[in-house]
Amino acid sequence: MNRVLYEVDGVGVRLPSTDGQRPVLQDISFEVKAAEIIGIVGRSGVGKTTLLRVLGGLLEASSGTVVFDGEAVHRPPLGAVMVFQDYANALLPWRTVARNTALGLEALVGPDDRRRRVADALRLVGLEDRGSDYPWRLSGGMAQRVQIARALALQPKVLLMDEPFGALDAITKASLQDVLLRVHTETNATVVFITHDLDEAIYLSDRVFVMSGRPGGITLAADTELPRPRDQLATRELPRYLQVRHLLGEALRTDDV
Amino acid sequence: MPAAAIICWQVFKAGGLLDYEYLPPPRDVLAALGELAQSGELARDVAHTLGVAAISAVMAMVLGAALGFAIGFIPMVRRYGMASVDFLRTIPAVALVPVAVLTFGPIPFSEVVLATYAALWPIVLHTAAGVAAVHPRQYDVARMLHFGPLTTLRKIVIPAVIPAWLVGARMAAIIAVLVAVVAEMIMYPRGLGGGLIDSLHALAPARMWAFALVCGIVGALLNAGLRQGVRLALPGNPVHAGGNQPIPAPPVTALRGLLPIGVALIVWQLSTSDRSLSFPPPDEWVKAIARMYADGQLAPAILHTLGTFALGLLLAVAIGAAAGMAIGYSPVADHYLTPTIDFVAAIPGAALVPVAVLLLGQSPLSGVAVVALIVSWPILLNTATAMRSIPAVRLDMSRTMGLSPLHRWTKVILPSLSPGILLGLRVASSLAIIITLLVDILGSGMGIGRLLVESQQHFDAAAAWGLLLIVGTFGYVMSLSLSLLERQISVPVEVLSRA
Repeated sequence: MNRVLYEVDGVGVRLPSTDGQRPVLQDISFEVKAAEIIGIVGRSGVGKTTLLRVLGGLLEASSGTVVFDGEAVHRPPLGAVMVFQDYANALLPWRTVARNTALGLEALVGPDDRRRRVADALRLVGLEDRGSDYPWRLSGGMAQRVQIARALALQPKVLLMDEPFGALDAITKASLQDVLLRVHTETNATVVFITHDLDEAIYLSDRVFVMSGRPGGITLAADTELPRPRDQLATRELPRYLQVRHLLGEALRTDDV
Repeated sequence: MPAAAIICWQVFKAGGLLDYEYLPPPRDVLAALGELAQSGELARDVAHTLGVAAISAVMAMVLGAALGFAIGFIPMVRRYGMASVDFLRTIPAVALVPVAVLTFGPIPFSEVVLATYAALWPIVLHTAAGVAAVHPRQYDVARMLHFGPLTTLRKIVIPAVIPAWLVGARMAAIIAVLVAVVAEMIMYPRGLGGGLIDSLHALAPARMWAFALVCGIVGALLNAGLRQGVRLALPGNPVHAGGNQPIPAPPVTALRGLLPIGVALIVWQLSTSDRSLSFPPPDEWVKAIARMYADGQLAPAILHTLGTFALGLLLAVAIGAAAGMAIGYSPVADHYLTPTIDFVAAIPGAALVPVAVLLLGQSPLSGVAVVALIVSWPILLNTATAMRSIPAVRLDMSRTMGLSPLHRWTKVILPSLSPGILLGLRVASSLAIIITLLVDILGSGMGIGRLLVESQQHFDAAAAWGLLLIVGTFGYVMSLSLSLLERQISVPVEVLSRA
């Protein structure tokens, strides 16, 4: 069995609001194993992004502990890289695709090594011929692939993705889902991602977490038990797929407020 | 925060800790203010300055709209006129004062002409940009509905341009006040500018502080009132109503657009005689420049003024950018300092020159300090705005990528700020020319400013026009090179926001 990468134990988060400290997350515990893909679904405002920011070390938990690869998380840990939904602002507009991809490597490795790793990362996401373009020359799908490449260039242990494909059209989304699955097969990276799209969560994940309540918590963790490699058409027609979909749909429906 | 500073000031002064002749305690300033208000002098001065500014702003709104429509609508005018507009708008008002006085005399009419001239250009530029920004699809709509050119103008173009025109008008009113104060300072002692200069000459610091305070209050009220007015006129148009944005980044225009100025100069040369007292032909200007150069006056004057300008501006960039970053970075500083900063920034910069000259002295070095102090505000404001508007995602990104604090600044934050700092620099640079000349005149009594005053006192119109040519060319070259620099840096960013 794979080793445990994330150990989250009794995490709660309070954020300042107009009427003092408001609890956003409460008593969240789970583990993530290396090479797993975890999808997190839940209605908006339930605290999914907050949870992801805690995992990425961008936000400190008010209570409980987060341990990543054996070390407590207090700041962004090496080996955990976040990919944001808002690709337009997450890419630096004054840098080319290749230099955006190299951003995190510049302080770490020499120029030759850097060039090779950038080229590898761009090839993984299928952008090997766009390295000298500026981000504004790219479509939304391509820009998001640059963000994924930039994260991959750091050879992270885990990719934390905040609605990575939420701003894309359905066809682009499907092709990027397959890019992500291919990257996962080739690099064995662990992935934790947030989505609004139930089908996306089931199609990509080994396990799907449902978040609900106020303050938010994880109310259901479902193993998809779907075989890999997955296929956009065949996987979605399996009886198990529909079964999981039903289960998750029920869990989300009871959360109607 | 400001209240605390004022109380400290009063306490130190009363306790004898702070003993400096030209820094009167706040109580004396208030007393002087009361006196001015009681004698009716204050109301008269405010009414004079605001009256001139109001007439000028209204005239500029009409003229500027006409010119702006011509430039935006007729490609020929744009092609062969834009660079001339750029040249004319970069001439600092101070350099125009002697010419105006020698042409029309030291009367309110000259003041109105000057203020109108200065207020014209933001309206022209905003209107032209507004016309150019009407979406092509809207012209398709007009053609589909079989509108004639006039109906298209009335129903499509004018409503679309009004927001931009109003923003230009707001800036025009503020500039009109500034230029009115400047003109009053060096032309004839009336209005708020006159009051400031009288108290400078009478060495009455309390009175001068009172006038500067009134200038600030007038500026702040005007600013807030106009902003509210634009907001009321354009409900649901937050982009235009809220911003404090200066003139839209001027495109770098082709030099062939200077043709109209060239033609005008040639016609002028051919149609006037050498003897004309108020309209000397251009070859007389050149002769006057040569004469001043031969006297050994011009070269040191240019050196002095250029030195004050360059050092002052450099210092202002350093101070303004650093303070702007600090304020944009820390929410606490932002919360406590921003109201004070907004107030100081609303004071017409020229009104601060006499105060600063009195405080810092009249040596060339204190001239640099005065320029830096007054000119750093636009850089500070633009840097702080740029700092606040860095997308949060971009900062999160730099942390999740594991960048060290140093690299976060050099690779992410500073490049994000550079368009904002440059924008501030562009505004600051045109203000710096005005302030430098004013410091020449009121402070050190050296440099180009002094030559300008002398040309006015000696009724030497040729010299006045010659100096105007020199200062105008310098202003144009400055603005052109800053625009080029800005374009160099901001191309990818700009296109991104349009995509």
